[in-house]
Order: sequence, then structure tokens, then C-alpha cells
Amino acid sequence: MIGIAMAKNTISSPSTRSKALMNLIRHILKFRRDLFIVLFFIYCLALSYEFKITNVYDLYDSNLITVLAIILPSLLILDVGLRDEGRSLVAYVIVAATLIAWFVGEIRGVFVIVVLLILLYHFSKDNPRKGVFVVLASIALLVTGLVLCEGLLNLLGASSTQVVFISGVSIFVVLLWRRT
Amino acid sequence: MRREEILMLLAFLLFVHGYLLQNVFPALLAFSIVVYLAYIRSEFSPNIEAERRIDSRLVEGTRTISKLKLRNLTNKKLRIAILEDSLPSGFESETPPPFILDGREEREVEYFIIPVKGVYKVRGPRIRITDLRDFYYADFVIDSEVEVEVYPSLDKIKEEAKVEENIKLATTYQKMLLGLQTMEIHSLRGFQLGDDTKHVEWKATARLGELIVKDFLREVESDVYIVLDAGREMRKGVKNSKVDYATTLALQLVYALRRYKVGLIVYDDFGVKYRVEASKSPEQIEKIARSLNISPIHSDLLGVKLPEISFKLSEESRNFLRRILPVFRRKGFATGLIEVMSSLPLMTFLIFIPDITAHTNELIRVLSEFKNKHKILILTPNPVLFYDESKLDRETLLWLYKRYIEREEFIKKLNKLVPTLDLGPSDLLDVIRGALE
Repeated sequence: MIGIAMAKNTISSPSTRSKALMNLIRHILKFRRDLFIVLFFIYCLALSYEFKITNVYDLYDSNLITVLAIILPSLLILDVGLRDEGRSLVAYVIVAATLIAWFVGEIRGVFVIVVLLILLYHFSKDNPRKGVFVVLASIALLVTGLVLCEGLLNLLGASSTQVVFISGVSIFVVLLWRRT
Repeated sequence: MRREEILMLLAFLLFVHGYLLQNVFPALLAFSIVVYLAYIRSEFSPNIEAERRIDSRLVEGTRTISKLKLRNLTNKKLRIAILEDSLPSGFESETPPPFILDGREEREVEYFIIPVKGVYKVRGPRIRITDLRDFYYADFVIDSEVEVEVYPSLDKIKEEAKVEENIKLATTYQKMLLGLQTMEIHSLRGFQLGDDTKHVEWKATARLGELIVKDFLREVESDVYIVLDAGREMRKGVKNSKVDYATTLALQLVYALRRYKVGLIVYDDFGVKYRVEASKSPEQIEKIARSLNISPIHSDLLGVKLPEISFKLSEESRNFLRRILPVFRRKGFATGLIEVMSSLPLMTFLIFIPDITAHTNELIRVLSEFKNKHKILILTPNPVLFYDESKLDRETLLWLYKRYIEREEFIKKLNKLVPTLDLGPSDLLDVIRGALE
């Protein structure tokens, strides 16, 4: 927004330097979404160093809320950034909620519910139909697979095997939607 | 790299990271990204209805409105970009920037098309539909075909042919080609640039306070016909075909000679294509302009064969071909030309704009036969001068030079029959007038 405001201001001033600055801002704005996706890329890689989960089956007992509190806002931020809607209410709410939840550990559950509601509201703007089915089917596939293969995967030091299993399910999902 | 690919790469790296560091969290994050991509992909199924409306009669170089009616048949927002990449060669478009079409929304978009002279079938446009996140797109080609006739711009022609030059040209024609003046006064009129000062009527000038000249009766004031060759050879071209130039020249001539009875005959390889009877009416220029909607054929061969396709024939073969080919050619060119000549009244003044590189023998035969029946002037676009400069190299230049010399010889031959002017793409009225004087 600051960029747009600056661009608007510089339009009115006729100097060559201002015009050059305006062009620079225009170019930056044009590649804003590309810049965003690169930043998101770095953010995700940095995030994966911050949290450690050794066993996916222990998730329900201890870390599920934390994982959801990180993954759901990340996806929401990704979608808001890609849509490039400018001043989105969702973006402000997420930032505010993240800051509160970050400092007050006890209300993380409430934070996850709020984010989930925002997520549903945000994606409802797409009028989704088939997409909802794809998301639910993919999650169900992963959960069912993990439950069915618990005997094979829930072992001490089997986190690499669990990663391989999740990546296998992901490849299956990719192949499924590529065909549709 | 596409955005989708960046996210897929991110997911892959997260899986590798999780595997190597024995951490399930990156794998779960990667899985959520994959599911997100699956969601976007499955939600993108665009469907629109579109219809284009455009006038069927356009004017060359004038911005024409193209109306595009769009209807989103889905209930999702779509980003729409209009791509006019199937327009005929030489056309330009000013398409609007991409815009968003809401679910079930119907909208009419207007933008401009700048056409070039000729008759064309306008197809398309192509509509690129993108999802709001710019991940996926689908191209939708409108299944419509509109035949448009693009006429030369009269304003442009008038602007190009300056009034002063036209008057001088008209005077030149009057002196040289349209018969001598008698001593009998026809009328008095205001002085115009190019009038002889000897003809000023001083008494009337003193009485009225402005220069008045005597207009004399002429011996003969014959009809003027501009005979334009629109055959295949004339229509070939890369950027500007000879026929583009010839039609501009024809219109300038019509405008310059508007005080006379001017007509137009357009013929091609098969016969007379259009004929506009000679008339002095003010609508004559417009009428003629509407007849000059000849489409150029875009090709590398500008009426001259390219050097790289040349092959040597023996003398015997050449003699044989010389005997055989006119038989086939006569059917094309000569049929059209003879039809033109035989349909004209006697002692008509003809301004021929043909391509003399093709069907030369037939042209000479026809000119020899009719030179005593009509007054003929040939203005011929030289294909060598119309060659695309960007394609010139040493070999082509030498070859073109040889062609040019050959052509000069031929022009000399033609000049013995009728006055012939060899013209390049920039030779318009003033050059012709200079040559005539």
C-alpha cells in the first residue's frame, strides 16, 4: 500500500527522477506476487527447522494444536498473498491472532478454531465444490493410511519411514488431481 | 518457473528435509501444500460464452470498435485477458488490460482494432482465462468468423495528395493529354494555383476585386479511366504489396482529376473485377475507394523470383517453354486485359497501373493494338524497388541489379509504344507530375 501511495504521489510530480522512481515501483508491484512466493518458500524452510516431531502417532496427545496453529495460518497467508487482494481483513486478523497466540500459550486452541473459521470463510469466496471433496478425501486418505499402517509405522525411530509414507500419499494425491 | 512448480519444489524439499533430519513436521507442511495445490487445480474449470460484434465495412487505419460480449457460466471469479493474435496480417489491436469477471456475470467489453486495406475474414479473438491466483489458465477461442471489407481512408489520401500538387498535376494532364484548348471562351472562374497568367480576365478582375481567369473550351475532354491490375503478381508482398501502393496512387489520381470524368477498372488474372463508370459526381471518389478493397497476398516473392530458387535450363528447353507458357498465360492476364480494352469507348484516356514483369508479351501485343484507339499512360510499380531491404545481401543485390537493368530495357521498349513511368514505393503524385512535364 505504501508503494501504491508513493506511486500515486509521484505521478503528480513531473521530474524525471520521480518518473524513474514511479517506474521502479511499478515493476516491484508487478513482481510482488513472485516476491511473495519466494519469501514464503524461505519461510517454510525456516519453519521446518523450528519444530521437531519425531512420531506422527504422538501428535494427537501433545502437538496437534501447535501443528495446526502453524500450518493453517501458513496456508491462509499463502492464499491471501497469491490472490493479491490488497488490504484483506483476513490478513489483519491472522497477524493479530498469531501475535496473541504466540505470547499466550494457553489460548492456542481458541486461536486454531478462529483460524479455522477464517479459513472456511476465506475459501468460501471461491464457491468451492469439487475442491472441498478433494481436500477432505486427501486428508481422509492420509489418516486412514496412517491408522491402517500403524503397526508398520509406529515404531521407535521410524520417523523417516513415516515421512516416506506421507510423501507417498502426497504423490498419490498429485497423480489423482493431475488426471482430473 | 511457474508458481505451481515453485510450490511443488518447496514440498519436495520439505519431504527431503524431514527424511534426512527424521522430522515429521516438514512432511506434514509439505502434505498441506500439496493438498492446497490439489484444491486449486480441481476448482479451476472455466466455462464462458463469448460473442464478438464488429462492423463489416471498415476504413483503413481508423480505430474501429470491436464489441465482445462475455458471460461467465461458472459461479467462480475468473481473470480474463483478450488476445487478438489471430487477426489478419497488418491489423493492430488495442486490447484492454486483464479484468475480473464475477461468477455468472455478463459483460460487454469494447476495444479498438486498426485494420488495413482489403477483404478479410476476421477470426477469434482468443480469450485467456486465468484463476485468481495465476496458477492455471485455459485458452478459449471464439468460434466466429466475420468477413470485413476495409476501404482506403479518403481523408488520408486527401491529406497525402496536397491540393497544390493536385492542381499542378491536373494542369499538366490538361495540357498534355486531354486535348488542346480552343480560343472559344467557355466561362470565367476564380484563379487557381497553376493557371496561366496569360488567361487572366483583367476587366472582370478589376470589377470583382479578385483574380478571374478565362476558361476555354477544349477540343476533346475525353473520359479518364484508371485501369488497375489486381492480379496475383501485384498482390504479392511482405510488408507493403505493390497493390497497396497502386491503390493509393489510383485514389490520389482520382482525387487530382476530380474535375474530369474519371472512372476505374480493376482487373485480375481472370477478367474484370470491378468497373466504376467515369463520372464527375462528388461521390465518385468514395465510390472508387469502395471498389479498391483488394487484399494483398503476403509472401516473400514480390513479383520477382528469389535467386536461391534459380535453376538453369538449356536453350532448347527455354525455347520450348517460351512457346508453351503464353498459351497458359493468355488465359489469365490477356483475357482480363483484352476484356478491359474492348469495353472502353474510343479515345478514352487510360492510366494503366499494371505489373509488367508478368505476361509481358501479352501486354505489348495489347498496347500495340490499342495505342491508336486510346491515349494511354503506363504507371508501373517496379518490384525491385519494393524488395524488403532487411533481406538484402550481396548476392541478392547483384541479382536485383541485373533484373533492374533488364527491366530498364523493357521500359524503353514500352516507351516507344506509350509513355511509361517506372515507380518505386515513395513515388506518388509529385514524382509523376515531374516526369510528365
